[in-house]
Amino acid sequence: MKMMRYFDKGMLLFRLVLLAQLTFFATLGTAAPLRLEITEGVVEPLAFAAPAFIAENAGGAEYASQLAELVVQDLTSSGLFRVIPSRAHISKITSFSSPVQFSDWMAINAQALIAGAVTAEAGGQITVKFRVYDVFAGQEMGQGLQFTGRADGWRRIAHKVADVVYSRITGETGYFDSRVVFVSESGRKGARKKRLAVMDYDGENVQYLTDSSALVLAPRFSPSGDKLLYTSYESGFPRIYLMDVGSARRRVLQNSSGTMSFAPRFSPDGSSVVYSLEKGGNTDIYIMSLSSGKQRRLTNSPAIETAPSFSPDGTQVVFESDRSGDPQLYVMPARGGSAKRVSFGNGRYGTPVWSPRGDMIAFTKQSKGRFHIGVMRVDGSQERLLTASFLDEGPSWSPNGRVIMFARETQGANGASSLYSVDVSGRNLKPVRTPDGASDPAWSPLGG
Amino acid sequence: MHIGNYLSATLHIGVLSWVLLGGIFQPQPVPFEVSNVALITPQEFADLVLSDTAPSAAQVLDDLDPLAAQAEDSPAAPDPEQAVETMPAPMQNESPELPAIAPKTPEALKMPTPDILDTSPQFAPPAQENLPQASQMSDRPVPRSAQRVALEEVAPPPPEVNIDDLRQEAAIPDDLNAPVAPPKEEASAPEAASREIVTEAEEMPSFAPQQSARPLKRPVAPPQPEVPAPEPEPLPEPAPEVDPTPEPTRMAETEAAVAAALADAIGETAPMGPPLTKSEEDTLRVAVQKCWVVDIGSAAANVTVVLGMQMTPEGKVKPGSLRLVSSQGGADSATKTAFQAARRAVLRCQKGGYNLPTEKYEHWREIEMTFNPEKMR
Amino acid sequence: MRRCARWFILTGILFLAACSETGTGGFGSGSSFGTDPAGAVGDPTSPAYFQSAIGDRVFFEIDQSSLTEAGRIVLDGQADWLLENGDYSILVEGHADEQGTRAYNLALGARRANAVREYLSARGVAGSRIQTVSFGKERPVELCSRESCYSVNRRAVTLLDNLGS
Repeated sequence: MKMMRYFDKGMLLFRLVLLAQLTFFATLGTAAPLRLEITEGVVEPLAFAAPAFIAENAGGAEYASQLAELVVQDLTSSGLFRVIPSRAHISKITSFSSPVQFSDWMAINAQALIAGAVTAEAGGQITVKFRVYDVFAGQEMGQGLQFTGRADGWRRIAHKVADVVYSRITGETGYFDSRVVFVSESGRKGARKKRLAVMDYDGENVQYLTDSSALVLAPRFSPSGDKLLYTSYESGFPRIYLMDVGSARRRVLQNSSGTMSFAPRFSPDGSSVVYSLEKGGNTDIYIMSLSSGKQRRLTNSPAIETAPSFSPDGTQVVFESDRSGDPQLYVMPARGGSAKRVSFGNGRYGTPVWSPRGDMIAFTKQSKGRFHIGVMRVDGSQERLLTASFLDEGPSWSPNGRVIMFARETQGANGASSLYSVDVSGRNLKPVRTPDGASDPAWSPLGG
Repeated sequence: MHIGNYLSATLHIGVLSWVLLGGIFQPQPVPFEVSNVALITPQEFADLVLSDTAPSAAQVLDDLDPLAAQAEDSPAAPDPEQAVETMPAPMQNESPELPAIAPKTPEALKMPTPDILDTSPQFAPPAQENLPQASQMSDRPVPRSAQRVALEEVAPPPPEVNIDDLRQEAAIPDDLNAPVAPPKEEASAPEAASREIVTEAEEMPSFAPQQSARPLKRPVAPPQPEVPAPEPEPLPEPAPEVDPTPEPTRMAETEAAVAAALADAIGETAPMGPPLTKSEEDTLRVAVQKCWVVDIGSAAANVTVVLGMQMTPEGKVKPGSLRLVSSQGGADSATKTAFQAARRAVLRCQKGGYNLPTEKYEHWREIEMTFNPEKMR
Repeated sequence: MRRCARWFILTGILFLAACSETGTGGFGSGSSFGTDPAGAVGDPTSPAYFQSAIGDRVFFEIDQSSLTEAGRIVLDGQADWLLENGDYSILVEGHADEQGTRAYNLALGARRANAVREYLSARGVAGSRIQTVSFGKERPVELCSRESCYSVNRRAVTLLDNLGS
């Protein structure tokens, strides 16, 4: 009968449907993994342990704990790391090659462990070797490494060790083995004595490069870290000079009478200098080849154009101009040409500096009577202000583009200027120690 | 025969329908309201209550924490990121819009009121001079700045306390008669944390009045939001229709094959249990989140990584099974860093094993976790 | 009005002071720019007279480099004096207050100095006698951080140099 046949097919259908659904559940249960999305974490310093380095011979003993302490200081000062003090350690590192008891370090919540050893060599040298461990993964991060150098340059060796640790954990290059050139200020406001000085990024090893007989402003390092550009009034007029850092010998670059030159910066390949030249009251941006001395005009407007800064790939220049009525930031091709405005907020923008990573521009912004250091993407978007005070200006990037150093001046007749640094995320704002007042900081390249 | 077929068909339909549709007839649990809490220092709290017997803020928080844990166990758990609680902020004249948490999707939890509030004496409010105008303060409370950004706000601990992950009271040996003095533990507390990075430019000057005002009468609880009836889940599509052209021999073969497969399938599905509920998933997610340190400003903060892992029945990761399944958005070194940070997150927070229901083990034996820092930047 | 009163008081005081002067004294070394107060103020050809009686500086509004009416009057006096005393060349120093970044203020000071130069030039002072320089915000005369100090720091100062000696 027809009904029967249809009914049988109907039963088959039911059974197929049931089978399909049961197998669906079955596959759900045994084959598909649980899928989870984590979209929020914490922003906090990573806890690490760095017990004192092991002195492998008597001569190394002097440096063993100092090296570890300076590595700890570098990493902690970056704001990304937090040290677990040695009194909390459960096990000790007694020998550089012995295996690590990871459970002991896990128990004190150290996420990374640095083990190091130092040996004194002949001729006043020391050799420092170290390993970095990822405690919770129970393995070494990268390979052990060693540096040999003069014993009295032990600080630099420690900075290099800290840079390696930093880069292994964060995946980016460090910035601890670097120097900062700045203007050291003394005397009262209105009659300041200013001179050029260089120091380690952490404030040690200050050396003066000029005396204070002439006003000096805004020094900047070359990409190789061995030369400086700066502005000096030693001729009675502001002019740009090129100085060799090692010998402190200098020569003037732009000397035309009736003009002023200032705000110089190197191109990324070190072959040219971009700067402001003032003629007849008008200030424009020029570029000069260091080898030939020939200069070429890059902007041509009755507005003030100044504070130029190259992009790290050398193709563009960001600068400050008041062509729209008040100072704003513009980007133009490095050979000159039409400039595109990139600052759009309420306020006046100045001192733009392109990040060494090429992704951001740092600047000074004035609004509602206060000064801010800020960063923005190179097209002007995502502007973020990092500081606020009576007078902050002149940001300079660390070699890895993560930290900004700038000058902050206090108000009033006894106002004085000093240096501060802040992470690009806005965290970790803190002062930088200098012997006197200080302004116009500029960071060297890594190793410079 | 007919009756048998009818009976069988009816039962088949009945079982299938119950399995597929039974869920919608459970009453949807009412979502709770979670209010945000301002954590105040012990000193402020003492001023607030003005009672010699007032417990320290840390103790009060300990009392309140178990209440939060209870709330999470109930079926429709509030967003666990918001698991901090209400205490009246005495300084503000506005209704209890309480500070701090950056507003994601706040589900307000109507907490059973803690004992402390009930016993607080009623004081006449003192002279209200010097209280800042409400218009001066932003309606949206600004988070206080702290060096650490975490999922919950943590008030700055008292200065003599060590910074540690756990909150511990300093252990005081209680009795001279005790045979063994308990090990002296130093008081430690988690480092002060806030919900988002507050740069110096964003910090608002403190509007705190010089005197602390007495709290006004306990504010009326805001009305519960309407709970919309949830949409019934659509049924999964049935398998496409079988070709109806009649072929008796084929029918017989397929019938046999289907019967055999049915027997197999029914056998396999027995010990699995229902899939993990959202709150169980959230427990795992929150646990891992606490240990996932994101380095904002680094290139790794642009990379999304997916980690695969196998778990033991105790809830720990099987050694050697943790691997990178896929990644997106970065160069090699940034990806490696992101992977290592995600791995550390999973391994650091497992401690004795993640809190996952053992009877549902099959559902979480294999886990793929995606770490996406997009919202953190 | 206030400026006239100041002028009268100053000249009064200086005339009295001049009574005790014994001689004209030197006008400062010829090679450096500077104002030399040792000159007899009563002498209308002396730099001291220029500085005090005529006024060696003009002031500017915030962010502006255009001359005010009061500024033009002072510069008229300067131009007349310079035309009568052809021995002198001048250096115009432009300055700015501290409410700006360093390089921009250098450029702004230069604009102000140039505004003075162009005005004096238009009044007939030979261009070869005029030089300009800017000190930006480096040399304020008043140190407080309020408008009362800022307004006197936003200035262009004319310094005399005696070409003769």
